[in-house]
Amino acid sequence: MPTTTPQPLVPLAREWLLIAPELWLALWGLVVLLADVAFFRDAPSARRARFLGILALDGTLIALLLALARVVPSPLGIELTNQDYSIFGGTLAADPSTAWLSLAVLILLSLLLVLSPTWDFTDHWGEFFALVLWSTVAMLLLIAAEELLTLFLALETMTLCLYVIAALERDRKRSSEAGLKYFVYGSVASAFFLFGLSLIFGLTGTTRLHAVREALVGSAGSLGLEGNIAGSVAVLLVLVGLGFKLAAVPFHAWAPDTYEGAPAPAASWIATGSKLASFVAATKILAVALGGWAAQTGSPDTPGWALPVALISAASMTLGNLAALSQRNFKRLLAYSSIAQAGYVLVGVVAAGVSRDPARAVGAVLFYMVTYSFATLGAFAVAAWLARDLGTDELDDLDGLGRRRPIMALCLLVLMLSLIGLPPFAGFFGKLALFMSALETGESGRLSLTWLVALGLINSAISAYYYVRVLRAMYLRPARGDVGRSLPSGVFWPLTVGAAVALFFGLIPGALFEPMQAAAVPLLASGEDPRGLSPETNPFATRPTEEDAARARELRRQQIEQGRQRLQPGTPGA
Amino acid sequence: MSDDLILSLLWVVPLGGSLLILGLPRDDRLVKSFALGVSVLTLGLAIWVFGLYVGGANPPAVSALRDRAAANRIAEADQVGGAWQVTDVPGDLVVRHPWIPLFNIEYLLGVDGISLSLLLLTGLISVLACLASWTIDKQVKGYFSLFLLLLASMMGVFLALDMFLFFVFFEVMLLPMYFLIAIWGGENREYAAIKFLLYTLFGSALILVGILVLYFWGGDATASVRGQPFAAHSFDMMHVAEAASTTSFYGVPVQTVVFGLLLAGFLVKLPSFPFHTWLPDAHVQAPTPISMILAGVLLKIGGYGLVRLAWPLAPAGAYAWSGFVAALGVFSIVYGALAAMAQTDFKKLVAYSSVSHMGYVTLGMAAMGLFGRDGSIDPRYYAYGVNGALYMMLAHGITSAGMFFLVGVIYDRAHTRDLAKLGGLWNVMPIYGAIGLVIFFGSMGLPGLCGFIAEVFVVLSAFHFNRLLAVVAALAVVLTAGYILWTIQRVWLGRNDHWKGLPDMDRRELVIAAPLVVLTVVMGIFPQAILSWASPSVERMVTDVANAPTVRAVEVADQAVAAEQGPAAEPDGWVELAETASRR
Repeated sequence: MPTTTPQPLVPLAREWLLIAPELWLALWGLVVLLADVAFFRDAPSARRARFLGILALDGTLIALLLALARVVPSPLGIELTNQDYSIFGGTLAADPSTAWLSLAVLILLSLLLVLSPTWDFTDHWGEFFALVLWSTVAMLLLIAAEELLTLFLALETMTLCLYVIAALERDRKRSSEAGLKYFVYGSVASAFFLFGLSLIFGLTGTTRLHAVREALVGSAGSLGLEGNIAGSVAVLLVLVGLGFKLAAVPFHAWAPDTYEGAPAPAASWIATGSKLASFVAATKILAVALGGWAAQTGSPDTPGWALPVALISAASMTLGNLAALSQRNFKRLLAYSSIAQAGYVLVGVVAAGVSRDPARAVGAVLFYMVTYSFATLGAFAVAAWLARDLGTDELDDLDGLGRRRPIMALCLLVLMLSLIGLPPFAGFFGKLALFMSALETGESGRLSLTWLVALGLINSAISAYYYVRVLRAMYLRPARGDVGRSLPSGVFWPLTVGAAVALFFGLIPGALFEPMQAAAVPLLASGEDPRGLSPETNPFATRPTEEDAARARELRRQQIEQGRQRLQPGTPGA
Repeated sequence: MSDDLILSLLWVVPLGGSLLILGLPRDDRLVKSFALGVSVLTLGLAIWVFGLYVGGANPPAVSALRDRAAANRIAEADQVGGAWQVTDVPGDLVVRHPWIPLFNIEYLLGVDGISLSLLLLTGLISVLACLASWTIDKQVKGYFSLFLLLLASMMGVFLALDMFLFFVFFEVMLLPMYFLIAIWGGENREYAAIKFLLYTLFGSALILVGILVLYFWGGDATASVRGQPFAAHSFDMMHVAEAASTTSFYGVPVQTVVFGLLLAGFLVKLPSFPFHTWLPDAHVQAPTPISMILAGVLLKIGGYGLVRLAWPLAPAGAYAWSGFVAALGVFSIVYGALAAMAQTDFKKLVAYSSVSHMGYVTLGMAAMGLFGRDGSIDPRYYAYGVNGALYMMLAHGITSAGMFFLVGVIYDRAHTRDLAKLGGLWNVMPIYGAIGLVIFFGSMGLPGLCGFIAEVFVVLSAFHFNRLLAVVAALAVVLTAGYILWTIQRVWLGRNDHWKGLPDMDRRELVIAAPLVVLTVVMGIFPQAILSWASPSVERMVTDVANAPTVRAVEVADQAVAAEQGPAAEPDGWVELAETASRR
């Protein structure tokens, strides 16, 4: 539960300071774009890539410092530890969850920006870097969103930027196909998603996540979706939208083509940053807002979203793994692998809905997504390396890497083992934490979710087959041609950082798990609007009086009551 | 040196060696000597631990591992500061520290007679395998680094008392093994390596599900262990096993499921029919020293998992499954022997003989004749069976490593393993013949050699459990003798001018073979030398299993079913088998 002790007033200026990293990045995108137009118009593409990459990286590092100020005390005074605030009228969260996750996203972004210029794949470098920065802004806002409309806008901004960068590769038609496919699927899915959100608004009368939750959870606990047709439709529509963003079966068809066709840096950003943010959004919508519709309290088998999500999870991991078995292209393999990984994480999302300890489940989801993102980014760096040196990124192109580049091959080995989920790497502990949180449910839930967990573990064993093919190529095949002849630093950093993350957090998982769980608690709790706490000292021009506040409270209570009435089975509204 | 440090060193030393070796200069001799030094040091540490275990004024051997583990406690002294109060009893050969407190995961190591005997075996076989690796000349550094990593994880598996830690070591073992087979193996090495990896991963997935079910089970809320209420959520296998064998926290149904999962997982590793098919492939393709390790130690990890996890954690489940498992063991014995007889590849023959011998381990574990005729608890015969199973693991560790080594010796010279082409080697290589004779007879179970003791114990126990199975198991000895004698005939006897001029075993090879030959004989004549300190631990485990209230519940239910069907005449073996089959 949130801490409800009144906090000292937070002035409006501080709200802007709290989203300083986001604002800075948005501005910096413009700076990069203008710098490109102003100074590098006629420069050769490779040089532009290098300069603009450094420029974008500089901006990101400053944003990273600003974001760091939200975690550790600094002169800015915006550290967010142990607070549970929402800002801008309750639309954005400003609490440890945003602080820690934005840090993770920004570190990933820096690695991506180091990686991108290694391989000269496009003429539109200014646009590429600007769109990457803006998509990151949207990811950060998505992570912070506390309100359905903000969440939707952030999600759309993010994917809109990603549609474009997926199609940016200059020489290959596959890239345009990738972008187009992503766009067509994505826009249809967004339409479904928006429709679902509008139904939720219609049923509850509010767009704020916690208000929705309060409207749906009755005093006697959750009721699930028994007999609630409108609610079920809303949930299904939302699941279509989220399923697309997460590339979960059966909404995954775009992923292999897009990952394979898009240039490796773009594909890696779709697979890591966007997926991390989308999972946070999915957790917020499902576990927070629609928590009351997960299932009846204590019995996950009853009608609710837990059941379809569990089925989606089972289908994703099984189908993703089976389809990956026969892939020959490295990026396509990673695409199917990421579909399967999404299936594992959805086990944690189900657990967040039905577990007795949802914070543990969300902590596990976040832990897994962060370690997965670093591992996947490292793997995509290898794909970019291959594409740069050989022009292709087939699995066979990795042949003999173990002999030519022993350290890099060792790092890729660590990443693959972490993705399989072998101890002592982070992937193992993450998977275990997900599955353990799924078993931390009531008596009846444990039995039904044990099957999902067993399926997940069997799937890990299946996945070993195709991840090991990467190792086989690197270590058991003789070196061919030019693979790994030169080692650009853009490949070195993502790969080594990814391996270090996988090893360190595998041996000492608590170091990441504890912040992630600390982030999960406020993510699940309702954020207090600091301005709502003491109206007398509200810095807004029109200061609400005590009467206004009382009226607002009464209005909200009525809305919730209306929503609850509409949800009663059998009434005409339902 | 404190006992905590020395237990950790047992796996840290080879792990450190495995990393250090990568930094050595590119000198094959230096790398090999270094690896040998690390292996010898590890063996020395294991022997030191053995000295600590049995020696001294108050040796750890006299008290149960369970009591020693419980005496070391972790208490949350100060939750805010994250400090942990660790109560450590010095000199008791148990280490307990918090590792991942969020999930109650501990760094918990400890040894008793069962694990110590296997630790010593691991140390010895590793030293010998390291010597046998002297002929490796491809990527020497990588080979020995992986070799030592494998040694570290095997040591860790036998030391770990925390199920999570056990699982970590268990999985870490896979990777070096995969590469050792896939890089340094025979022509079909990649297939064999991936098959090994996938089989074991599927097995370990089942084991993990079993462990998680135990961890999350919410049973009888009144259950208490050592005066403390017990509510699962622990990976401490001693603690959970105590709950399983002294309370009804884990009911019979959940134990049945958990046992099935653990059994299937460890039978893959053991291996037993029907999960054995990876073994012949892996053995045939693996280089000789790795075959020695695979047969000598890795298979024992399956058996150790059964003794340490499957039976103590789910005694009632084990009891309910015992008829089926015993039948499976007997079937493996016969099937392995028949399959061995049909082989023409020398190495494959030895591999199938492992399947057959491991069947005795399964049978010895499963022959749970826990109750006397008057219904009182009388686990004496079952103790024979488990002792026999443990002894079989040790004896097989010695003889099978020896047999694979002998296959390697001849393959290095003749470059063939085809039994039809070999023959007449005794004339050419008399020392090789003499050593081969001792080790093969030891494996066959000739009285006076190590295999015999184990087989007798197991069959004795099986007689008390089910006469028919015992008779079949005893008769299978004839099959074993059949394929062993036939092999000796086909390899050593007769005249064959084709192999004239092959050099006999050299000094290095004799150094490897000598300990194996000596142990084959000594273990056959003085079994007490091992059983005197290993068997008390076995008997403690057997007593715990036999006294579990849930096992009694299964027995009572069985009796009730039997009584309902009317009083039967004194059952003979056939009726007993039919009954066992229908009941279980």
